[in-house]
Amino acid sequence: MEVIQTSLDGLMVGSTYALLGLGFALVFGIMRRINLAFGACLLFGASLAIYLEPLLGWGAWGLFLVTMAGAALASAYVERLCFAPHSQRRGAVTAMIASFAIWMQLDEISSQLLPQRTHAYQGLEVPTLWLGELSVRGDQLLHFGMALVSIMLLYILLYKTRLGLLIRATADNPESAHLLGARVSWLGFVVFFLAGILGGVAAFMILSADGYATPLFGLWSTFKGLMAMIIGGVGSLLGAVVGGLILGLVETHAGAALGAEFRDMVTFGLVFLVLIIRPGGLMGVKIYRTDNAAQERV
Amino acid sequence: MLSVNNLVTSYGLIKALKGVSIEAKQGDVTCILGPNGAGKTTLMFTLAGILSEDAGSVSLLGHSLNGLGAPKVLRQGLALVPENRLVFADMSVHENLLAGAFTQSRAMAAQVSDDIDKMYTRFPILKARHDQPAGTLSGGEQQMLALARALMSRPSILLMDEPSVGLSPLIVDEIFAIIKQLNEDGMSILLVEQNATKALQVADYFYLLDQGKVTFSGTPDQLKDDDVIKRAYLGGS
Repeated sequence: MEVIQTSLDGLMVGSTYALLGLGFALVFGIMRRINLAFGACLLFGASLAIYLEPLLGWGAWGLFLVTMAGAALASAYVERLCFAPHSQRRGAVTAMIASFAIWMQLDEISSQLLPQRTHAYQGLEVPTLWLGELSVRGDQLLHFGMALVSIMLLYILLYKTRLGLLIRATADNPESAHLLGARVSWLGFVVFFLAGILGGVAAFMILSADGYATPLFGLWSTFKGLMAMIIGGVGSLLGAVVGGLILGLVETHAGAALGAEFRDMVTFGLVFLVLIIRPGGLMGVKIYRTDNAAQERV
Repeated sequence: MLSVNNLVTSYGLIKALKGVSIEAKQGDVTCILGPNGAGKTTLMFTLAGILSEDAGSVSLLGHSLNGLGAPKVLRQGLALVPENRLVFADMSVHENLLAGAFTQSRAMAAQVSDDIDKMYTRFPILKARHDQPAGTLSGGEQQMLALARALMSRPSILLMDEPSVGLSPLIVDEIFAIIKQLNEDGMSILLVEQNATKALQVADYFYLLDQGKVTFSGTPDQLKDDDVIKRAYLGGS
């Protein structure tokens, strides 16, 4: 019973990692770029939400909306500043380094907004759900549902709409997409904005479950997102979801079995193993082997 | 129909096109021959709006295409089938065709659907493989898909960059039969080709491009009478 309870907790945590991983995978899978400032964008969104909360007084849902909007805008800002000017193949490294610099800038702005080390972040008040001896925190169950809805909406957008067709075509072959009339630069902006929205939802889920935010949240979410993407498959959207869930499950089980001090050691060990055994990630093997464009660009 | 006057295009300090002038007439297949490095693909990319010209003018049906960029050039009615096809490998054949209709507005959804049906009628093999990833098609099938995808934008003129490259002789015959059929159905085509013997079967007018300049222009008969071209491209003595 304890194993099932731990697995349930792991799935709840993993769903947030899945969204963080999707933020990275969306940008890498489509643009062949790594946005190192992704976590800083989420921190900025959260900081803005906490800063504005006393002025707006919208409660937890207000925090959700402002965190999401702030993260999306910051992500779009990073795209315009760091990635749009370096859209050529050779610009991948320059853009990544530029995003590292903007990470520092966004961290500094967030520190100015929130000068204390720890700030309260209001959560949703939902009663705990009991299933016999098993329990799931109501807010975490709601977060899990939000993650599922976000992933489904992303799927519908990418696979059932004209914009999604454009985005996937650009991911597949940007030169051809440009030839067929796609405004590749504008699509880059849209992709970063979408990644910011996903990250904003994840930031809200994580911070409202914890009840507080610290300036280290940006760094932490960058680590978790990258780990989810690497485990699941570099550039694979489904891989990012699977990788996030696996990361959550392994982390929670390791914490329960070995104690909190060994939790991160086990998850970093998992990343280490994946990189040795399947360097492209569990579901990214095809991309790793065949996507010459990715290898040329990054 | 398509008029190109004194077109100059450079890569940095290197001039790839040094004042190219050509004319593609409505309803004709106009062919550009030339050796590797002559500037044929540069010309195609400049006409399609992917590269910017340094000087000269390009106009299609009286409308200037100068400085428009690829999306607007396509909307004006000039579609390019690039060398090596460049299909969307991970997307299905059907999605590739839909992608070809990017420039059509949402209101044209019914028309896009009709156009896809027409493509399936013209290229039955694409219908048979409609839900297959384009990357799994053979070279000839990918060439047909690239051609059909370009036609989805309803162009006034089709630019084809070396459609025979990398294909077996049998498939090349099939591709040229398709080009001929398309032209008979009224499509104007500007064809870049190194295979002069095959090009002679379909083209109405020829230009020879060499080191960024037009060094010959004439009808198929004039081309066959030119000793230098005969030796270089037709295997004659």
